[in-house]
Amino acid sequence: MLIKPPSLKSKDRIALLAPASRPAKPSALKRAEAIVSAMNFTPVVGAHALDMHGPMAGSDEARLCDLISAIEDDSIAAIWFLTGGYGSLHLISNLPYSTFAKNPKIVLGADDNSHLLFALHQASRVVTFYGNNLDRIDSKAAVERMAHFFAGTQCEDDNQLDYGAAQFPPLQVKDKVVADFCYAPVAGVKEGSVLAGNLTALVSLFGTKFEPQLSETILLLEDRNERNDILDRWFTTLYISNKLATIAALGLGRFENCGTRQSANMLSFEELVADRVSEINLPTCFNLPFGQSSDCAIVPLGLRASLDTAKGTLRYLESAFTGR
Amino acid sequence: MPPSPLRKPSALKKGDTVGIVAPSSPPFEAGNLSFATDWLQKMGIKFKLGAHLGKSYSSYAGDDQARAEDLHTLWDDDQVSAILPLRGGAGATRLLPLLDFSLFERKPKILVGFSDITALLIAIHQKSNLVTFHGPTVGLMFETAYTHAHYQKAIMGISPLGLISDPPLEPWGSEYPPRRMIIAAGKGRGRLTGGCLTLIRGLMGTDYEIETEGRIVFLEDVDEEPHNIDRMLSQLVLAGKFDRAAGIIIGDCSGCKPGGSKRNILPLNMSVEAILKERLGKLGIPVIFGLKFGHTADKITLPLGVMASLDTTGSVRFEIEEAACVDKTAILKK
Repeated sequence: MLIKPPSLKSKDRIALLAPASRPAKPSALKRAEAIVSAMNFTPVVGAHALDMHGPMAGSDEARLCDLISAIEDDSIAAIWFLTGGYGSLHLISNLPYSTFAKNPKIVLGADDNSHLLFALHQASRVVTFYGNNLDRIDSKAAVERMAHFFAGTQCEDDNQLDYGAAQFPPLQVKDKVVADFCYAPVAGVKEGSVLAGNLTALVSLFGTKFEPQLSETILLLEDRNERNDILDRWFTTLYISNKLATIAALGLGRFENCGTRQSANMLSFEELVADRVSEINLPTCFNLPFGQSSDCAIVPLGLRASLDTAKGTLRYLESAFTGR
Repeated sequence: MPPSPLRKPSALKKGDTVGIVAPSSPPFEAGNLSFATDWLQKMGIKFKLGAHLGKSYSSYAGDDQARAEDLHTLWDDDQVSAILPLRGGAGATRLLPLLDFSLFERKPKILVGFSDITALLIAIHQKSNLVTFHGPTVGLMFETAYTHAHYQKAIMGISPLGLISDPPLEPWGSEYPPRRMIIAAGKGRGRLTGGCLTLIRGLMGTDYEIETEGRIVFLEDVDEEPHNIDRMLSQLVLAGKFDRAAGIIIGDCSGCKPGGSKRNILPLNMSVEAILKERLGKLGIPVIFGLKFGHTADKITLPLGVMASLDTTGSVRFEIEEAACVDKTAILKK
C-alpha cells in the first residue's frame, strides 16, 4: 500500500540537510534559508550541514544524526536536500524506515540523494520526490513553483500546474520541436508506477537489499558529468540483469554535461541505449524534462502513471499528497 | 547437487597456438598487434587472430555479435590452447548474455586479461567453473621482466605460483602506495577471485555477480575519483560481499586521485588510502593495499579459483598455494 505525505501549510518547518556532499560555501546555506523563507515556510538547517569529512558534510554519524532527527521530529514537515555530490549511500542501512512510514513527510532532492529517495520509497512505501536540490534553484519561477509544490497548490504562471490536483501535474516536453525534441526509438503507451532517479545511484543499489523493484515500473533516469561509455556500463548492468526487460516503459531525462568528453571514438548514449530497447521492444523516449536543473519537473516516486513515449508525456493517475 | 569440480586449463607449451581476440575495445593501431605477435613468436607460440579484430563500433571492437563470435570461434578451435585478449577498454560486459558457457566448460582453456576483461574472467570462472587469469593482456605481457616472468609461470607452468615477492625497488626516490600497506591485520586463506572494481560493480545484481564467500578478493581500478572508489566499495559492503570473505588485496589503483577521471570531480576529497581504512579497515579480515597487479607496468598474474593465503600479522605474506594449470600430456595419458 502506497503511503503519501501531507502537503505543507504556511510557516511549516522544512529541514535543509546535506546527507551527501558538503554545500559549496556558507552562503549556499544562507541562500537556501532565504529561499525557503521567501516561500513562506520555516527553514531548519541541519546541525552538521557544514561539517567536513572528505567530500561529505561531516562523518557518516553526523549526517545520519541530522537525517534521523528530521525524520523523527514531528515538528519537521518536510526534508529538502541542499546539494548532491557523494555520500548518501553510507546512510541507508541505518534509517528509521518504520518511523518514516508511520509519519511520512515530503522528502525532496536529486543527484546522489537518489539513494535516499529510492531506499525510503522502497523500504517505507512512502512517495518520495525527485526534484531540484536547493543549490539548483536559480530563478524566481523555480522558487514559486517549489512553493506551490510543497503547499500542494496551483501555480499562477503560464503552465498553471496544480500540485494538489487529484492527478499530479504531468511531465511533458514543452516545446516538442526546438528545446526538448523528444525522440522515441520505441513508441508506445504504458502504465506503471513511477520510479525515477540517477542512473549511477540506481546501479549502486544493485545486489544490495535496497535494490529497487523495477518490475512493471515506468523508469525515469538521468545523470550528470559522466562519459557515454560509463553510462553505457551502468545501462548494460540494467540490461544483463534482465531487469530492463521487466519494466513497463523507459524515460530518459537530461544527461547534463555528459557526452564523449574528449574521447576520440564514441557514439551517443542515445544510440547505445536505443540498440538495447529496440531489441527488447521497450517503449522508450529521450529528452524528457527530468533531471537536476531548475526547469526540470518534480517526479514523485511510486505514483501510478502512463507514459506515452511518442508524445513525451507522463500523465499521473493519482495525487501525490494525502488530504490535510 | 554438489558443485562440479573446478576445471583447470592445460599449461601453454612452446609450439602451441593461441587465439587473439578483442572482446572489449579495438587495438589503437595495427602496430599494437604486431608488437604482441612478435613477442609470441619469440616465446615459440603460434597465433590465430579473431576475424573481427580490427572492427569498431563506438568504443568497442565491432558490435557485440562480432566480438562474441570471435571468442566462440577461437575457443571452439581445437588447435587453440589459450585465448588472449589483445586489450581491455570497454564492452566485455555487453557480451555476457551472448556467451555459451558450456563451451568454456567442455573445453577448458587459458583466458588472460584484466581491466574490462574482468567481466569475462569472473563470469567464465563462475559459470563454467574454470580457472581464469587476471594478468596482462597479450598487448602488455612484455611490459616488464617482472610482469612477463609471472605471466609465463602462471600460464606455462604446472606448479603453484607460491610466495609472491615484489619487483625490485629503484635505488632512489619514493613510490606510492607502498607495496604492501596493511589496512587491516589478520590471516586468511581461500580461493582467489577479483579484478577491476568498476567491472565488478557492473556485475552486481546480475547472474554474474561476484562470489566472495570464503575467498581472498583482489580489487583494483585506474583513473577513478576517490569518491567513485568509495561508492563501489560501499556497494560491495552493503551487498554483504565481505561478510564471509577471507581477505582483501587492493592493487595500487594508479591515477585514482582527485581529478584522475577527468569527469565527475568534486571540490573536496578523501584519499583512496583513507577510504580503504574507513570502509575495509574494520571488517575483521586481512586487507592490504599496493600489491602490483592490474593497471601498473609491473603486474603479477592472479588465477581466479586457486587456493591462496594472506597473512598481514607481521610482514605481509601472500602465497598462491595451488597450481592454476595442468599438464596436457598427463591428461592425454588418462
